[in-house]
Amino acid sequence: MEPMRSEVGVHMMDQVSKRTFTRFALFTAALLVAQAGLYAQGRGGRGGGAPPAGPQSAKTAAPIDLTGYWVSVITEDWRYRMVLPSKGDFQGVPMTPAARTIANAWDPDKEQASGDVCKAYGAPAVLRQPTRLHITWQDDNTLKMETDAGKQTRLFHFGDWKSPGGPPTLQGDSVAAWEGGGGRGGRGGRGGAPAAAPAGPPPPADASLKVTTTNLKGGFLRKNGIPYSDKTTLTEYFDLMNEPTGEPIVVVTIVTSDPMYLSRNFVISSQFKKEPGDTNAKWKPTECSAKW
Amino acid sequence: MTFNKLSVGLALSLCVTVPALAEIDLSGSWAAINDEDAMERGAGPNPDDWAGIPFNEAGRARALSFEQSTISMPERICWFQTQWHIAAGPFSLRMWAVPDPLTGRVQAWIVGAWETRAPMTIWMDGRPHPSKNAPHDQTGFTTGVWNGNELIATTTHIKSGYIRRNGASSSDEAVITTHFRRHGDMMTVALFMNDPVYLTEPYVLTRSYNLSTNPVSIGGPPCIVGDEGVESGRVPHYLPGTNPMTDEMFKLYGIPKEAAMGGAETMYPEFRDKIKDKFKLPAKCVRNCGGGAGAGAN
Amino acid sequence: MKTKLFVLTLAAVTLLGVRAYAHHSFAATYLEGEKMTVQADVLQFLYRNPHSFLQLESKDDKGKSITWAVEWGGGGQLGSQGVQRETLRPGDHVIVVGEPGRDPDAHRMRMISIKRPSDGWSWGGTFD
Repeated sequence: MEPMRSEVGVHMMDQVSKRTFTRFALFTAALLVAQAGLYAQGRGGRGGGAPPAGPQSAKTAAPIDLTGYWVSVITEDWRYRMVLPSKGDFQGVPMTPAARTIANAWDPDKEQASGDVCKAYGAPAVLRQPTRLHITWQDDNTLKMETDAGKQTRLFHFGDWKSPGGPPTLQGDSVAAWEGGGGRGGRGGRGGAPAAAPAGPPPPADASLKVTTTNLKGGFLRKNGIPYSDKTTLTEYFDLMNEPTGEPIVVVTIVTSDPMYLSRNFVISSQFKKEPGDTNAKWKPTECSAKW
Repeated sequence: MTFNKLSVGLALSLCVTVPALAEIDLSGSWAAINDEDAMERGAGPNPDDWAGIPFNEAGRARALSFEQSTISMPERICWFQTQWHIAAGPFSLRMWAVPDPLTGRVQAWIVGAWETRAPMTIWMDGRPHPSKNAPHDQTGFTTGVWNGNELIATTTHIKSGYIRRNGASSSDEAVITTHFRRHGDMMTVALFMNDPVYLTEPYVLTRSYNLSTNPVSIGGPPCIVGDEGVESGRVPHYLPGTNPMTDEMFKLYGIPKEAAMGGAETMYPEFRDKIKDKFKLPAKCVRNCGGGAGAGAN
Repeated sequence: MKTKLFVLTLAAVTLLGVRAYAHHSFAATYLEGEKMTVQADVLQFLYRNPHSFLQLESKDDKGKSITWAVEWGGGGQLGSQGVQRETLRPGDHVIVVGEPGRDPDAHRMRMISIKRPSDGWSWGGTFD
């Protein structure tokens, strides 16, 4: 009889529905757990694992290794960097009229004779010089950068370091932080390894060193007298990459902001190739020069 | 609905909503900041200025044979630049992602075209590059991988092109590797040119961009062929030893010829010792000194 | 309203890229810093990208015809400076001052200024 069959049918449907629902719920839960795990891995940077206990020093936490010897690779603005630029050659620099007046009065002989010959080796300009860098950890929270051109030293302070104040200096006061680092995707990304991925070691982590420098003494953005003032703020991003040959190269994006002599931010980028070894026979400290 | 259908549907929807792991959004209009190499990228470099290019002899010879009017030949007026023009030209970039219609994942990133540079399609789906013997074009074939938040793109299969707009050339065996790194609303793009035919080591240029709310055109203004003064059938060139402009950089800037002729040594600090006594500072800048007068019709 | 918005957007987009930078290098193509003057008649005004070209015909001292190609700004850039496609017509007699081309066989110049004596119209300046 139909009603009995219906009741049996309904009862059977109930059982099936309950089984289906239970299996579905378990499956959903499993998927969600897997998703959370993948998400945590992607954000974890180093593939998960227990987070370290207590605050880490900048040196311990460093996601990229900038230490060692580096040589500038001058492929851009060559005539402004490798030789003394001509008087009045201001291509590319967003100068204010006040800056132009100062730069038009530049005299390299007078600059050299004045004794104040390191104006173009201040923090906003020193990484444009053809130079070698030697980067080491002065302590666990201070990265030291030395240049052989002009014998300059810059200190990048991590953590909650505060400037001790005092008169402005050529290299200013620099506060540093590790930035970014979305996880080491390595080669595969999400789509699998492409056939033509560059050979050699995997790329370094995508984290950057961000350095903000203030308390700068006025100087020159280029050796031909383009000035920056003591109101300048400098922001730099140090990005570590691999050349196609696999050799490390650091790209420094340099943003100079000066309300007195620049009409807007002046943005340039310098690159430095790693030179192997703990010593460097090519390291050649030379004095600043205003004429060469 | 059965369990299987429900499960498949849920799995698919979760795939679509899974966040992009270790990737960032590069889409938008990126305004070029042309503060370095301003002249080289804008109005164009000085003739025979190849300082800082790691040429070999073949690269130098090819550059010396170049006569600028070549690009005014009717066949070459709208000749496309390779993707290296991202670095060698002054243009802003428009970037956008193309999703896979089924999964919603990014299948490709596009760097929009401009005038004489074709769009760069960066395939993100793991497809291999074509066979070594596949045809080349100015666009090339580009694949990309994420290194955390850094996009690394590799371009192969490009035709011969210019690495500087004064005759310095790349061959059809060149490979361009492009790194896109975002710092907030600023982006650093580093391009590496590896060319076994014309270069002795990688040539690197780095550029900066600001994210802008002013839209950058997806394609740029179209190039139209016209009469630029070079009659059909003539191929402007210089035979070996006849290039008349090899002293131009010395005349303008006091830069000795051996520097202007390029080579890897011109990229490194120690080269300064070699040319110090040959460099002659001119009295002042005489042209292309930065800034300029406006223009207009009366 | 929609049309106005479209036009404004198009203008903004165009202006952002209005500098149709040469795909060749000016410094390498022309003898910058030098000037020459040509009095000639317009043959054709090629109003285009990447660069507009003005084709002129003059006569040398023997009465032989010479055709000049004078490079000028891209269509978008010129348009914003008041120079339109119809501004110059075949037959117009003009006086052009420009930088001579490095290739003497091309009879080529880069525009510095142009004047049309018949009505006093002129343009002067620089372009990219």
